[in-house]
Amino acid sequence: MTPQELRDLVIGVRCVVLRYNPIRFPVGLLSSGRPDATSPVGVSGNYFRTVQRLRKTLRGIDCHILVADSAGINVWCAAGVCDFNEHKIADAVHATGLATVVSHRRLILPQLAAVGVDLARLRAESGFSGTWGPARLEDLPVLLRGDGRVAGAMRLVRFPLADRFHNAVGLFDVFLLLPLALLIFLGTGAAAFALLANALVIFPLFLGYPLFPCRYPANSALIWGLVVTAAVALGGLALAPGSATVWVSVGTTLLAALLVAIDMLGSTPFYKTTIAHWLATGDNRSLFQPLVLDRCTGCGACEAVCPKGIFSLGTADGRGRRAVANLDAECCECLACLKQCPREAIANVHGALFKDDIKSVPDVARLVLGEPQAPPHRAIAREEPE
Amino acid sequence: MIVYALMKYIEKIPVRYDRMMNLLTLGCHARAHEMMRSEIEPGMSVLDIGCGTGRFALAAAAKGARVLGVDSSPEMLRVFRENLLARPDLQARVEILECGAGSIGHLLGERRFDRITASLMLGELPDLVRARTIASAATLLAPGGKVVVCDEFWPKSRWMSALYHLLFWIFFVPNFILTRTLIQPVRGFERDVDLAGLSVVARRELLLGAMAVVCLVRSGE
Repeated sequence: MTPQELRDLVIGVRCVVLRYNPIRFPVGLLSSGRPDATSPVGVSGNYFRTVQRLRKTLRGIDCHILVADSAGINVWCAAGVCDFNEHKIADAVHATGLATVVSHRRLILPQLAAVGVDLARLRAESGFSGTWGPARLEDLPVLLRGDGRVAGAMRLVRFPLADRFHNAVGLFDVFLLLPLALLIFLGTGAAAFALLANALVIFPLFLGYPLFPCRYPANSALIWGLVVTAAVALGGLALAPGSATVWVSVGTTLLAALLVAIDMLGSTPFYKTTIAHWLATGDNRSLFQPLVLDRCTGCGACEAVCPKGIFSLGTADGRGRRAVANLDAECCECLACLKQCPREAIANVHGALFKDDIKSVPDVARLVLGEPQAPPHRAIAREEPE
Repeated sequence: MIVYALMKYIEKIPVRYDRMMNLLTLGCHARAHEMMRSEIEPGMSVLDIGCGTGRFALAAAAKGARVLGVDSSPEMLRVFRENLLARPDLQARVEILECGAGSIGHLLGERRFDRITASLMLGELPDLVRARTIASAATLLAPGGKVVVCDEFWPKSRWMSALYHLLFWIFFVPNFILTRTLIQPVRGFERDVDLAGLSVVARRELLLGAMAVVCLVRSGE
């Protein structure tokens, strides 16, 4: 193992263990293989581990990797809160002098950044046109080698074991606050118990998720949390009957179980919904259900960015080519379709009743209602300097 | 880093941003702005990079300057536009452009400015983008113009640098819990300034040197 590989390994492990404390890869232009002026340019956010994985995945493929600032976090989350957008990519283009390195003017963008990146403005600000790459970087080589195009399953976000493990570690880190509080107020016994209970609530749920019988993850989390809480209560009473510490541990386990269930309403690639909706109905389907309006021209922009495969192009009602939304599919309310539709032709079946935690779609309150208005932020209606 | 941490935290509530920043920096934010404002004269063209809610841009316009405010945050600019609506007398002299700081050279092309200002924003930029921003500022400067920067700078002396490292680690956890990001005072500023062909003509320190207002001109002017 070379010193470089060792360093990468240490940083990689550090990224996973302290997941919500991101390490930023420096913004810049990297080479994979032996790229020349005609080689493709793939854009990445600057979460250190993403760039590491990208370099490993693209080994042997001649291309440029443009690392743009995403505040050190994954592009999906960053794009939703305006931390990764056309400005960040344009800044990276200009700071690296990309226009003098390559002769073409095309960027391959991470598909999950679609909720934050306005392609028309990117073109105006950077001089480069963006096209959407696949949802997962493992599929990039197919596109870069020219063996195929992005379609079908390459557009879908998944939640495989490795991702679930990383998510669980991140959640476990956050929940360390509970044992830490117990350590300060009640000593090591209660803290160790709470630590174990946290691990039992979180890891089996995430790692064994496909084995849980509930359709909705928040329900699985709640049921599993209650099982662990009951186990803690029985175990505690058997070990130290009558001890107040046992009841405190039961309380913190129950609290952890509830908080994990609430986390399942939006902090994973699953459905996203409000706590009130979940409590009232016991289902945590998203209250955003795309409604395709008559303005749709069937350009396919929504189909190209939907990570859940909800849209297809059809000829519904004999009105010519237009997008068709499959409302039975599991929407995760990323709002990429709303952001990318050039005709403002996507509204919400449930109107304004949705979680609404995405910050990067201007006019979202008007768009979900399907209200028409000349699009101020679309087309190239930027505020041009005189 | 402390000022930046406060800033990041308060940015989440942009409406109250200016008042809170001033309170939390013991009035230094206002003093720094006053120093920067003293560099503005009527009729000047001003480029304010990272204009945020437009506090400085509006103050400069009130002094009779023509101001272009640039920021990459649509949220902050929304508040700026609201603030501008409340000042119809200044509207003709204020322009707003939403773009990244690293793209100003590309977007503003042939335009030139008598004053280019940047208040507490260079530390938010990645190193390469910051270098590019300073280089672009040098290009966009009109003959005889000045770049005026207010920021937290990483200290040069070894002891102060060690103290900053210590403070950084002490404040690491609260900083991170509050802001979810890591922002450091500006490092390598002198090198970026040199490479951009600028020279420092004045430097005034605030908050025991934790913040400074720096004036730059084209080298040789």
